[in-house]
Amino acid sequence: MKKLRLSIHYEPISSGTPSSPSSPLTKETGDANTVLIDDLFLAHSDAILAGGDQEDHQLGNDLGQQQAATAMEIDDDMIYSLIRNWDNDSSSSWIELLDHVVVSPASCFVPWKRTELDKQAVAGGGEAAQRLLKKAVGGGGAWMNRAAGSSIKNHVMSERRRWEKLNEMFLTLKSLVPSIDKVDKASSLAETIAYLKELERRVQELESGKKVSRPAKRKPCSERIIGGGDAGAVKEHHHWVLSESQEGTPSNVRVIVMDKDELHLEVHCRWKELMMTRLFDAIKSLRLDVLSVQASAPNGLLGLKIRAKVVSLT
Amino acid sequence: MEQPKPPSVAASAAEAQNPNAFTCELPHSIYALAFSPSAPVLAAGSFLEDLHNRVSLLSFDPVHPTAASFRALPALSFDHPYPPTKLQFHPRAASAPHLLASSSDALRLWLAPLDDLAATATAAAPELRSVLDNRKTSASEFCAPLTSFDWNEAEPRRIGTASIDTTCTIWDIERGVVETQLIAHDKAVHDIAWGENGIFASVSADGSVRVFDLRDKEHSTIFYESPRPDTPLLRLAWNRYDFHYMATLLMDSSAVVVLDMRAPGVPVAELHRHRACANAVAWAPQATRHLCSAGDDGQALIWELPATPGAVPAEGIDPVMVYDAGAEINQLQWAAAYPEWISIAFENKVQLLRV
Repeated sequence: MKKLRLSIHYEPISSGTPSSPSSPLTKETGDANTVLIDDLFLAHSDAILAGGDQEDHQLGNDLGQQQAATAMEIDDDMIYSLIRNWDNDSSSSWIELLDHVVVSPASCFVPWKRTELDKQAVAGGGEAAQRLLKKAVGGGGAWMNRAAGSSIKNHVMSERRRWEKLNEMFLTLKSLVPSIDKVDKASSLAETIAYLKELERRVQELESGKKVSRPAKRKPCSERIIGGGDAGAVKEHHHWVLSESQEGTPSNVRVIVMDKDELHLEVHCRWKELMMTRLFDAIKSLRLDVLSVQASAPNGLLGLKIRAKVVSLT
Repeated sequence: MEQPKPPSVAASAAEAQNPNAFTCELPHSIYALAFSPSAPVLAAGSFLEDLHNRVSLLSFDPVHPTAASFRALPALSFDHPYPPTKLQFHPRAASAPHLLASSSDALRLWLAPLDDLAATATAAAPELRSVLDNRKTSASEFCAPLTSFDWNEAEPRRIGTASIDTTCTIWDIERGVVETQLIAHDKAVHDIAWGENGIFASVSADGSVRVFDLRDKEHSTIFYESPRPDTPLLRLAWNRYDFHYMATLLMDSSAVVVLDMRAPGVPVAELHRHRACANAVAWAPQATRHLCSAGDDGQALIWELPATPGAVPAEGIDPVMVYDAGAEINQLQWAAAYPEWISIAFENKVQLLRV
């Protein structure tokens, strides 16, 4: 192969390239140079006529052997000086020879032609440049696995810290809310919500409790209409209402006198243990007979509507 | 996730105008390619940035090629974890088992039944024969990804791998153990290539080409350094017909840098005719001074180097031949078993080009 390349170099000179230094050298070598030119022409013709790659390779070997034999007759310095005289004007014939030697006629490659675009500088890379190549030398996706692994660890740690904080806050919530006795977090939240609503309601009751105190003052007048014999009872009743207020519970008692003997009581208070017992004991102490009781539980409170009759003294 | 693109008009036009280019379309984007030395088969690896990738085996007829004869063999395709960064068949044509090696998170050896391609309907899929990684020795949960590898043709029991962890590892694949491991560079190693007599070279993100000799593991020679500071070198091709020559590619560069072992440090030539960044380079398998390069400009260029080092013209070397694929060419293979064929990969297509 190398010998074939060497012989191809002589083609530009034999084609009559106007290269003055080569002429004297050619004359000086005489017959030996004539043999070289003949061999070169033969190589050129055979290369053009060759039909397949395999034949090309064999031809190259044969020419190499012939050329090696011939080269021994010529001084090395002379050969190199001939090579150095080769110039750019012969590049087209050089490529033409190359086409026949190397590339088969059925090639899907075409000869390269210089265009104006080739003179422009190629812009620097950017993200899209060498896309798959950069990813391949970056580890081809396997590297992502490593990053994903470490991020999973970090995620677990941060989740753990978050839940520890939440658990602490749930414990604090349990200690603040007296009604919480269950363990699970959902119950803690539900009972906290109920407790907050109850506190809001207490605030409302206390504010509305101030308004109720005024109707309470009117009760003695109503009772006087009934009769003087019950003055003591009226006082007791009034005391009972005040007692409830002093306890700080949001309670509300309304007394409506229907006629001489009958009156209605409306009671709203927070449910406590033995509340009903205490309530009816208070009614008895007022010498009232209970005619009917209507009970309800508005918003978790105890609501009673009681119809009562004054006990006759006869 | 990447989806298969519809065939571009330019590619279809190029194919219609070129009866000697044969195209096979696959379901996914293709990166790795490998010719088999002992059967008319091409291996093509998909490139999905995912755990699930696939290697397809394509058969072709090198003597009487037709569009129908260049096709995938579904029975011989197999799943591959992560996209393979390189594929290579056992270099000995006469080797009894047809071994195919792949690199990704580890080096894997697959047994491919290529003896009777006509009976592929009943043939078993290639089976995984061995996985070679440093997981146990490094006591780490993860193995650093492999960027490339090269199979030693003179001693096929040796495979050299290049890794992101700055090391090159020489494996004895018959025993499945590490023969030697070298901290080859200061940064990730991007490619490795064998020379002769136990010599190999590697390129790195540190911008250097280094040459190692297994007979003298303590030393290495810095053969070339990229001119721009810290410009990584991405790929390396060593001329197996004339071991004096190497070619390398730089990141974000359209140049192909050609080096001569006899003149370290200064490139023999810098080939500057790609109109976009270069992606792949391969030497002609049976010629000393011919090589082919492919790039983002969609062109595959065949170059011929001048016979004497000092004969490079001032305006640079022009390529001899050109092929236009119409889309970015990601991979290029020129195998000794089929010197008249070049294979390229672009988008989800593999093409066979007659030289």
